[in-house]
Amino acid sequence: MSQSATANTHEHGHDDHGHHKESFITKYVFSQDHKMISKQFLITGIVMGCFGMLMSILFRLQLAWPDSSFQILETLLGSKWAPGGKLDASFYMGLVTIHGTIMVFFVLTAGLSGTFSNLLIPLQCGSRDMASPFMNMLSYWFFFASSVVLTYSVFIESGPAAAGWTVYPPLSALPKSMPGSGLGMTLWLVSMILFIGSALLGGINYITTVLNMRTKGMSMNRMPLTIWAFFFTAILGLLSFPVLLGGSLLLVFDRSFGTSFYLSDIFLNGEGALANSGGSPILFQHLFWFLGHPEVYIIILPALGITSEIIAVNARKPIFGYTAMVISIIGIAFLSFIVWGHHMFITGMNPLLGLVFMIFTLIIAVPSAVKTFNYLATLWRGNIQFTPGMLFAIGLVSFFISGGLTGIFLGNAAIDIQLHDTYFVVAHFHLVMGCAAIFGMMAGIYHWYPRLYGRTMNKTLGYMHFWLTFITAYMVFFPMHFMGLAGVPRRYYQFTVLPEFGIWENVNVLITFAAIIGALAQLLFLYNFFSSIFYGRKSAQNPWKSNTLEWTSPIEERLHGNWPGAIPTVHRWPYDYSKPGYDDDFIPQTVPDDGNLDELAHSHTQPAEPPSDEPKNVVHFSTLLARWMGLSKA
Amino acid sequence: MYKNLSEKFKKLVLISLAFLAINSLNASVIKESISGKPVDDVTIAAGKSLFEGKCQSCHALNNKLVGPALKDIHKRRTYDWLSKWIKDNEAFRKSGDADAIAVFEKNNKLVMTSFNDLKDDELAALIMYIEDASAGGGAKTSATETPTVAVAVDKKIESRVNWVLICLFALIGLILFLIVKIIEQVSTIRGKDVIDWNSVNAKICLAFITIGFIACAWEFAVHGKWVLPEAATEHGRKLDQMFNITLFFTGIVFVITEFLLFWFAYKYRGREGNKALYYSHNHKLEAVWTIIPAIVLTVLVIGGLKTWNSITNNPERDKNNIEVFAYQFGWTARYPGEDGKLGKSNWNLISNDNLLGVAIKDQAENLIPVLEQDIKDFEIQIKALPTKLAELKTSLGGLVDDERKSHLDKIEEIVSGTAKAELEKKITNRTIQINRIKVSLETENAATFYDQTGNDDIIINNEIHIPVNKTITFKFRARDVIHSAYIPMFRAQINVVPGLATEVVFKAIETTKEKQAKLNRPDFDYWLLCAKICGAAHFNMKMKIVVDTEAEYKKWLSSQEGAFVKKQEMPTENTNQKDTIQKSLVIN
Repeated sequence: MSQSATANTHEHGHDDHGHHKESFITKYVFSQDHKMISKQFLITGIVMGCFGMLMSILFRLQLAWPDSSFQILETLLGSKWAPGGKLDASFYMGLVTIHGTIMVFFVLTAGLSGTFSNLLIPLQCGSRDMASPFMNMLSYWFFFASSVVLTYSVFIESGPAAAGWTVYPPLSALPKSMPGSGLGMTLWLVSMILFIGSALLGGINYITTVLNMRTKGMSMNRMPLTIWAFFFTAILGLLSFPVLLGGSLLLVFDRSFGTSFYLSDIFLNGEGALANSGGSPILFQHLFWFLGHPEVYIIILPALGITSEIIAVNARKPIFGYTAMVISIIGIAFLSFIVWGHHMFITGMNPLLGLVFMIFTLIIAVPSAVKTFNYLATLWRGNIQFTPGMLFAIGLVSFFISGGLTGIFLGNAAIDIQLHDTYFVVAHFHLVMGCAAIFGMMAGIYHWYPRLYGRTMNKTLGYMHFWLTFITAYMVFFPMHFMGLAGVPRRYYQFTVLPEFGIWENVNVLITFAAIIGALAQLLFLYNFFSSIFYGRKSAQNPWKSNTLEWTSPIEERLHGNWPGAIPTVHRWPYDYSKPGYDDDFIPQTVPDDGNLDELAHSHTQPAEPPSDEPKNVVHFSTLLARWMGLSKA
Repeated sequence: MYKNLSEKFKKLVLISLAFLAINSLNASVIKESISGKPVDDVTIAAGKSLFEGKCQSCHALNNKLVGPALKDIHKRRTYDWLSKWIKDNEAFRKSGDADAIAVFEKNNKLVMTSFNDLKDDELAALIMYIEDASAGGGAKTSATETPTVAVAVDKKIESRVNWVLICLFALIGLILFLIVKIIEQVSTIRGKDVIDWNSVNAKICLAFITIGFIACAWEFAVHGKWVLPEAATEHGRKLDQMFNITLFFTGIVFVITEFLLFWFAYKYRGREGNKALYYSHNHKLEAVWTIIPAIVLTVLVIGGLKTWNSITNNPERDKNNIEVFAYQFGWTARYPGEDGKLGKSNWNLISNDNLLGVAIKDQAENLIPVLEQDIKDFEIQIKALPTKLAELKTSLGGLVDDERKSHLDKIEEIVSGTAKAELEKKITNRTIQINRIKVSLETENAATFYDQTGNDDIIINNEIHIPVNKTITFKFRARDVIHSAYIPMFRAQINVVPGLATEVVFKAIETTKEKQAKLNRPDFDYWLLCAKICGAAHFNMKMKIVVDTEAEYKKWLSSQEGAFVKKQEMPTENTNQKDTIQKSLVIN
C-alpha cells in the first residue's frame, strides 16, 4: 500500500510518546488518549440516550392510554410517581423536561460532537493527540459528573426539574410554583453548569488542535468536511455556552439569593412572592436562546460533517462542491448567532425584532438547501455501497429535508403565531434535530467502529436496525404535524381538555406503538455495539477504502500517539474517489501527486506541491474565497 | 390495525354519548346532601358549572390530577371541614387541623388556591354536585370524564390485543435473529456475502419512497381533514393563506428532493466492476441551486413580513379592551364597565376580595390592616417556634414511616432556622407591600392611579363573550408564571408574562352559532387554551370564548354585575366619582 511508502519518506520517527507503560487507571479511566476519551464520551452518551429513550416510552404510554393504568409502572416507579399505575401529572412534566435535556445536551452534544471530535480531529488532521490531552480528560470528567448529577435528580423525593428543558423562569425560579422547581431544579442547574465546563474545555481544545496541529501538507482546504464541521461546532459552542452559563448563574441567584433578574410582579399561593421587582422573565429567554439556537447547529453540524464524509466514501465519489459545503457551514454558523429570536416571536417581544429575526431565519434555509442539493449531486452517478453507515447517512439527508422544510413555516413569524408551542414544533425539531442528528451519530458509529475497536459491527443487524428505526421514526413524528395543525399544544399530560382533541388519542396509540417498536430496534443496536467490542469480526486496516488519514494509523494496536513512526504527510485533498486514470477507486491523502491531471480533476490537487517549510497553520481563507468567487483559476 | 382502532373508537364514542344522553335524562340520584340544603336539579347544575369553572383544572372525580380525586369526598369529610378547606386551606392548616395538614403533606405540599369569594349557597351547590356525580348522577358531561367511560369499556379488549401483539413481535424477532445467524454462518463458510446487500438495500430504498409517498398522501387525506377548520378571524384568514403559500413551495421541494434522494440511491447502487463518475463541482449548477431557493425564500419573506405587519400593527387596537388574566391554572376576564375604561391594576393590591388587584381605593385601604394582622401572626409564630419544637420532639416517639419522616423534616426545618427565615421573609415581603400600598395612596399620583375607572369593571370567570365584526383587544396579565394565551380558531397566540403587558388584536368574523351551523357540530366552541408549560395542570387550563352578535352581546353584558359597585360606599368629596358610581348603579 502507498501509505507505507509515504511513511518511509520520513524516517526520523520522533516524539513516539505512546510507548511507556500505562496502568489500568491511566489507560481506561483517567486516560489522556483522545481515542479512549472518545470511547468514554460515546458510551456515556449511549447510556444517557437509553435513559432518555425509556423516559419517552413512559410518557408515550400516558399519551396513548391516558385513562388506563399500567400496574407495572407503580411497581417500577412507586406509588408517588405512578399512583395506581398512571403517571402523575407533575412527574410527566419532569419526564418531558429530563428527556429533552438528556437528548439535547448529553446525547446529541456530548455524545455526538464529543465522541467524534475527539476521535477524528487528531486522526484526520494528523496529530498525535489533542493540543491539551489533560484538558481533554477534564472535559470528559466534567461531562461525567454532570451526567451523574442529572441522573440523580430524577430520583430525589420532590422529583426532577419539570419546567421544560428550556426552564423558563418564573416557573423554574419559584420553588412553590411546582414540585420540580425545588431541589430538582437546583440539581438541573448544577448539572448544566458542569456540562458547560465540559463543553468549553473540549471546544478550546478542538479549535486549537485544528488550527495548530495539522500535519505537513494538510492545509485548511485539504481538511475533510468532518473537521470543518467540528471546527465550527467548537467555535459555536465556545461563543454561546458562556452566555447560558451567565443566564444559569443569574437564575441560581434568583432562586437562592433573593435577587430578581428574571422576576417581577409575582403573586403566588395567596401572597406576593417577592420583596423586589423590576426583573424580566424575557431576559432569561434571550440568554437561553442565544445559546439555544446555536446549540441546534452544534448538534446538527457534526452530523452533517460525518454524513458528508460517509456519503463521499460510500458513493465512491468526491463530495460535490467541497468549497460550497465549507462556505455553507460558515454561513450557517454565522447566521445561527442572529436568529435566536425566532423562538420568541410570541413572547411579547417588539414586533419589529420579530421582522429582523424572521428575515435571518429564512436566509438560513439557503445554505441548508445548498448542502442538501450537494448531497444529492454526490449520490448522482455514484457507485453506492450500502454499508449501515451509508444508510444512516442517507436517512439523515431524508430527515434533514423533511424537518428542515417545516422550519420555513415556523421561521415565518406570522405562521408561527398559530404553530408556536404546538405539536407541529415537536414534529419539526424531532425530525430535523433529533432524528437527523441521531442518524448522523449512528452513521458515525457504524462507519468508525473499526477505528474505535478494531472490529466491525454486524452488518445484518445494522441493516435491520436502520430500516426499523427509519420507518418508525417517520411514523412517530410525521402525524404530529397534523396534530399541531389541529391546534394541540405540546407538553399536555393528556388530550382531554377539548372534546375535539379526543380524535387524536387514536393517533397517539399509533405513535406509541411505533415508538415502542423503534425503541426495541435500539436493542438490536445495543446488542450489536457491545457484543462486537469483544466478538465482532476483525476489521481490515482500511475497511471502507477511505482516503482520510485515520485509516493510516494502525487500528490493531491502539497507540497513544496514533502513528508508530512519523506522522504521514498529506499531498492531496481527501476526496479523490474514482479518479480517472487510476486502478483503485480511491487515492489516500498520503499518496504523492504524480501530476497526472485531467480536466475533471479538482483544482485543489495541484501538481507536485513540494513539502514547503511555511508554517502549516496558515488559514487559506483568502484562497478559498477567491476560488469560490471564481476569481483565481489555479 | 389502525382502521380497526378508528372504527372501535367511533363505536365507543357513540356508546358513551348514548350513555350520557340516558344519564342526562334522569337527573339527581341523591336524596339528601351533607350540606343540609334541599336537593334539586337547579342547585346541582349550578354546582356543576362551579366545578367546571373552579375545580376541574386540578381535580377530577375518578382519578388524581394535580389534586386528589374528589369522588365520594362527602363520605370522607364533614361539610364543615370541606367548607373551611375550600375557603382558605392555608388558614385552616395554620389553625392546626391534623387532617388538613395530612392532606397537604400527602399532595406534595402543593398549596391549593383559596376560594374565599365562594358564598355559602355556592359552596353547598358545589358539594351537592360532587355528591350527585359520585353516585353516578345526572350531570356527568365534563370533557375529562367522557373518555373515561369510553376506555373503561374498551380496556379488556385492548389488554388482550396488547398481549397478542407482544407475543407476535417476540416471535418475529426470534425468526429474524435466526435468519441473521444462518446468513452469517453461510457467508463465513463461503468467504463472501450470500446476499447482495447493495441490491437489497437499494430496492428497499425504492420501496420506501414509493410506500412513503402513498402513506404521506393517506396522512393528508385522513389526518388532513382533522386539522382546524377555517379561521374565525380576519387576520386568521391571511395567516392561513400565508401557510398555504408556504405549503405549496415546500411541498414541491419535499417531493422532488426526497424522490431524487431515494431514486439516486436505487439507481446508482454499487455493482461490482462499476466506477463512479469523478465529478467534484460545477459552479454554474451550484449557483443555480443557490439562487432558486434564494428567490423562493425572498417571496416567502416578503409575504411573511406583510402578514406579520398587518397582524401586529393593527390601527384599530385599543378600541375595545378586555383584560384577560392568567393564573395557575385558569383564566379570568375583566370588562370595562359603562365608562369603557379598564381600571388600573397592580399585583400588590391582590387580595381575596380583589383577585386581579384592581386599583380600588377602599379595597387598597382595607388591605393594609389585613397584611398588618398577617405580620403579627407571623411574629407570634416565630416566638412559638421553640415550643413547637419541644412539642414535635415529645410526640416523635411512637410515630412510624411517613408520619415520622414528616415530623423529622419539621424538626429539621426549625433547628436549621429555615422555618424562621421563611417567616421572616414573609414579614419583610408584607412590610414592603404595605409600604407600596401606602405610597400609592398618599403620593400625588394617587388620583391618577385610583382614578375610579375600575369601579364598574365586570369580572367574568366562566366564559368570555365578544361581539362579532368588531376589533377587540385582549390585554393580558399574569400573576405567577408565564402562560400562553392560545386561541387556535382565532389563529391568535401571545405569551402572558408576569410583569410584561402583552396583547392580541383581532376581529372575529363568525359567531359561535354561525360556526356551529357551518361545521354542523352543535357542540363546537371557541376556546382559549394555555400553550406555555405552567405547572402540573397546564393541560387543563382553558376558557370558553363565545362570539355573539352585537345584540346578544349587549344583552349579555348588561346582565353582568360590576365587581366592585356593591361594595363601594358612596363617596362625598368627589363629585366626579359620585357620577360614575351612580351611573353604574343605574345600569345594574
